[in-house]
Amino acid sequence: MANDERAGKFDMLVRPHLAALYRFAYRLTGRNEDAEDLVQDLMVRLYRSDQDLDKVDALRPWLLRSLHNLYIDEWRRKRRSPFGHLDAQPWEELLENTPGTVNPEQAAQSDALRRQVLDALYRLGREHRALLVLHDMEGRSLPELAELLKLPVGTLKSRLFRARRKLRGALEKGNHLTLSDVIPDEASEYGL
Amino acid sequence: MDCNRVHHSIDSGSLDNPAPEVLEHLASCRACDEALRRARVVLETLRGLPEPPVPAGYAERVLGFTQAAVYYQHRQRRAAWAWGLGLAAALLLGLGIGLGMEGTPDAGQIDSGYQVHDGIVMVPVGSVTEVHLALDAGRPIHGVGFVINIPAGMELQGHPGEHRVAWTGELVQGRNILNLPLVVTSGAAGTLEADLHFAGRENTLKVQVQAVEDSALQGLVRRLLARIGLG
Repeated sequence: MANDERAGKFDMLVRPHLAALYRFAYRLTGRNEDAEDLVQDLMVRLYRSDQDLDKVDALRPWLLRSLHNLYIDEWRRKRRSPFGHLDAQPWEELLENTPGTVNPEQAAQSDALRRQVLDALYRLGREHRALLVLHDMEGRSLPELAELLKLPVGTLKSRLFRARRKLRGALEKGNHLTLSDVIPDEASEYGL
Repeated sequence: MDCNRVHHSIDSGSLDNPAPEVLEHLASCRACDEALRRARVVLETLRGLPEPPVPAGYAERVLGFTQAAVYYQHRQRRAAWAWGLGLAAALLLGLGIGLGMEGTPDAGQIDSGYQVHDGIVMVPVGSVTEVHLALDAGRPIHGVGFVINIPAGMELQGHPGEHRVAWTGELVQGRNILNLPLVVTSGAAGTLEADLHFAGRENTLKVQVQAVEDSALQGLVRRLLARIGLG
């Protein structure tokens, strides 16, 4: 197949899924540049491989799984600054422009809570973080994830258990979550 | 159902629709009810995050780079070399010390807890001092490998006993400030090196660091400034 023809076909197949891949990558990495890098890395690998994308059933889930696996398996070696000064905080660029509630006091409390939860989330291992992104952040069910990731529900359930425990541990370790002090009004909003 | 099983259920199942036996337990157990409430607040926080907007030009950027990368695959080594040269030309590495990023810092002026005399950073003993390295990049650069080599008698906060700390990061276009939380012991002196690796190339920034005993007066001034929010 000629280069132009191959490029055109690749473009046609993946372009409709790039936005979904970016959003997933952003949730995994918490940063715009890392999200773009991750998707870019996946695209280059796919293009270089002999994988015939038009023969893949349900291409979007397949691409999302590929992105997930690339993030878990390959990006492990990529370490971020241990001091955090060269890297923006996770979701920083988005949260700056997205107040949580109308009431300024509540907005500040809500913003603080969001930053605390995100800080804890991005201190987890990639595998646990990815599962919390898919299940808790994106709201996918365990059977859906079993299909998406090609893993048994039981495996995902025990992994979710460990991930939530670790998230809670990370929040409590940093004295981050003091619900009664921080968000008494929000708690009632949730009907709790 | 006992508390352990309820906690296990909370951590591994749906928080929206707890099982009837869990609800039954919650009705009579305040601790488990509180645990579910906390878990739900965390969940709602995650669910309430805004949807990341796709940056302008993202699809064109990704697809364009992908095809270019593969097109030049057969010339990969030469292309990588050329890219490295391009980056070297684009990357202007500078070293600034202190908060005065305009150029030479004022000798004797206390900047963020340390002084500079004749180009040597004088770091007080017994406290964490952030030493600032300024890196000027002509363009954004991804995948830069940072290696900090720390002389004997010094360490970075959070890395006790480590004389080499490495990670991967990015440089944004313009000035990047790398803040190194340095702890020095009495009498320590040496060269702190920051190695930057990108595209097969390497650049090293060196800064002389010397430990100084914090005088009682300086310590008092610093504490007073800190108390009124100026330190």
